[in-house]
Amino acid sequence: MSQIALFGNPNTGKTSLFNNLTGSYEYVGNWSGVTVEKKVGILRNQKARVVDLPGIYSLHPLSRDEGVATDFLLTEPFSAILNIVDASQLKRNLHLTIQLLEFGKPLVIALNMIDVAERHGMKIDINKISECFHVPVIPVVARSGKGVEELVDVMTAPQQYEQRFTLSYGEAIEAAIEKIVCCLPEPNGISKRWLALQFLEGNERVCEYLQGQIDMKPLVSIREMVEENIRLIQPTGSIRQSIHHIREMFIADVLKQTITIAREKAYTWTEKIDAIVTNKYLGIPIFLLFMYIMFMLTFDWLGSPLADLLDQFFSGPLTNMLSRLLSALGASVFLKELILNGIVAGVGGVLVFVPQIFILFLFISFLEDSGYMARVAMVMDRLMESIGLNGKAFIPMIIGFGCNVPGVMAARTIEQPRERLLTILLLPLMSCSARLPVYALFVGAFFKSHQALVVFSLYILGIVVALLLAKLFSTTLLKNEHSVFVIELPPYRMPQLLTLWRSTWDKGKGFVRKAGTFIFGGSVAIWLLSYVGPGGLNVSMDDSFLAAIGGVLAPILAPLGFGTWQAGASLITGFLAKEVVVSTMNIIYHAKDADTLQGLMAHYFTPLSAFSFMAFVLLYVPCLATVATIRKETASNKWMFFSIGYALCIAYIIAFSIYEGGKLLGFS
Amino acid sequence: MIADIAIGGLIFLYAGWMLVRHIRKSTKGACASCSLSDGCSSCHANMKNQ
Amino acid sequence: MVLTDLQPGKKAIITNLSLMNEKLKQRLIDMGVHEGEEVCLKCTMPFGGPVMVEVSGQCICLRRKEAACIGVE
Repeated sequence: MSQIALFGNPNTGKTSLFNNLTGSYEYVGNWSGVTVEKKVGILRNQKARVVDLPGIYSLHPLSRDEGVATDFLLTEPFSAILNIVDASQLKRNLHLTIQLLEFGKPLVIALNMIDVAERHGMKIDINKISECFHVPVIPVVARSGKGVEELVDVMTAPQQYEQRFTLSYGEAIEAAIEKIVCCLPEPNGISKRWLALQFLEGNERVCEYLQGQIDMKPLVSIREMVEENIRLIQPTGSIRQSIHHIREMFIADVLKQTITIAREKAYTWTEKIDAIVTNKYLGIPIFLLFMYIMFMLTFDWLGSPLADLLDQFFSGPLTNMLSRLLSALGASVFLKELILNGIVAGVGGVLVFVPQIFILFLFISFLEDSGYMARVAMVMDRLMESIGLNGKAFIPMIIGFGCNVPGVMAARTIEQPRERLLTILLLPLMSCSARLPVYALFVGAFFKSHQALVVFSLYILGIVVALLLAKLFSTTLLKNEHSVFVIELPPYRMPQLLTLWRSTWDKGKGFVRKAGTFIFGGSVAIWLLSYVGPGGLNVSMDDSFLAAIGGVLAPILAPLGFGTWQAGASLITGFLAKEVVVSTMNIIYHAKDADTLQGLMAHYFTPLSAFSFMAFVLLYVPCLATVATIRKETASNKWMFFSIGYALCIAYIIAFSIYEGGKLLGFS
Repeated sequence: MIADIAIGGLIFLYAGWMLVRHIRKSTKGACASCSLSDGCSSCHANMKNQ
Repeated sequence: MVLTDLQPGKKAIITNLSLMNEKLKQRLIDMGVHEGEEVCLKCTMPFGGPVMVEVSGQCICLRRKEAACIGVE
């Protein structure tokens, strides 16, 4: 099957278009760098495969996600390019279009966001653009899917249009191109002219690609000669600049022919909102307020009442029904215990927190889709700069609130390798949704009247610890040479309800599915460990294997205020997935429902030790999936072990200071 | 008694398999272990290719 | 005159990018910030934080010390 590659500037709607082309539901958002890895789908009419790639401004990658796109161009086979172009940003977008056209493969332009351009008072002559570039141009609305059918037809049409776009770069450069083309090896689908041009422009990936095949010395000397020639005419000039300038002139000419400005741009509501949320003094308070409202809704106002209803259902009707059903089947006591005390307690104990998780995900989806995300990066940059990171690092951190794994992946958009590494290492300190059930359980038991506030304080604790460690690491381990920060601020968009729901569901689905699969398995295993002991079956819980395993940790944990084997056992299992901490507690304490569990826990925890426990769970070790992703993204075992090691140390220190400090202050 | 063994056996089999699958999937890292990736068609494609 | 000398809301033409860090310059040029382009300073963040500028209808945020390397008229 032939393969079509989707290229375009960041945040022009590539993934939206991809979803509409293939009928899939990939993750979309309104900021630059949502897609950091290539994604493959089958075109709706089953005739070709489509590859979605991270957005790029040009073919010179500056960050890791951009490298994915350039590498694809150089190394993977594909038959055509679909270039998505933002109509309201034509001037900038067409630079990439020219570079892609020079690549020589058949190309179709999908002109997106015509509606936005029209709102800005632009009228675009689509046929004229098509004439200028000698390629088909199809207007689409990627978000709604308008124009997609026509696009599919054009892309898979049997008569392949010939690609015959060339732009002349003036005598000196053209001569150099000719010379370089002679040196290049036989083509393998890549245009020699394109290779020569990219080399002259100084594209590092192309240099690396050529290095493996030919001797670079003659090429480099050709480039130096041209460079000197250009400097003779203009002392501050460079090849890159002149190439850019020629493209710019060409684009300006195209735009003159194709765009008519109907009226002056009106004062948009993006500007009005920005005047408030990126206000000098209100910026950070507004962000904190948004977070606070998020937690109030998640815990106090909406989430907890819903969770209580669900809990009542699990502990009442569901348990009764299952128990009657099992009796009718003549099940043994063993099986009854397994199902009621193992599975229902373990899986149900996590599932009751689904409402909270969904509300949290709804807010994160809203952040992603509205365009506020990039503003948060901007508002936070000053703070981040002072600790040796940049504002962009805040975006992976917010994503990390949902799940740390995609957060670690999102760090790819950070240009500096060191800043990226630092962000990856600190990301596990962001409190992910899997830790939410643990908080929900404990605040329900010990901090009934201040639930949201206590949880909010934990999230803030995670962020503050991350920032302090960033400062520490960036001044010792990972000294930064020069930090840069540039980010594009997309216009605000009212998130469509459907998109919002879909991205919330996509995130939440993982949680529900995990409950049915892994948590189920974990609950059975934990229950079995608590049922079997050195003394045989059905031993008292304190003599079980689980108690023996957890007991090893108990003395170490005693200074933190929770030196029981129960706490030890649940922390060990929590490494696999943090929700399991809650399942384990439910099973260990044999609770029928959350209310009795919370009552029982009062024997083992005090409010102070409960808070210390929550802080420990927040910080102690990234879950298995995150650890594996860190290893993959940093390509180093050293950093993986480092991320586990420092987290354990810091968790111990913080939990210790909370507990001992709290005792000194007279809390209990 | 038969129901007992059947249901119990099923539960333990399923549980064991799920545990193994989770640990395998998690240790792969990146896409494979992402809890958001269930709706992600490319991840399925990627995993099949591996 | 440099970009940060502008009053918020005022416009100017970019005249000189040569003082900038090479990597950053490349990124800005890719984003459409180059010599001869009109730029408008939208707002500045407190405590020496980043500035937000608009170039050909696109809002971009960059650090103040880097914006201070952009010559304008």
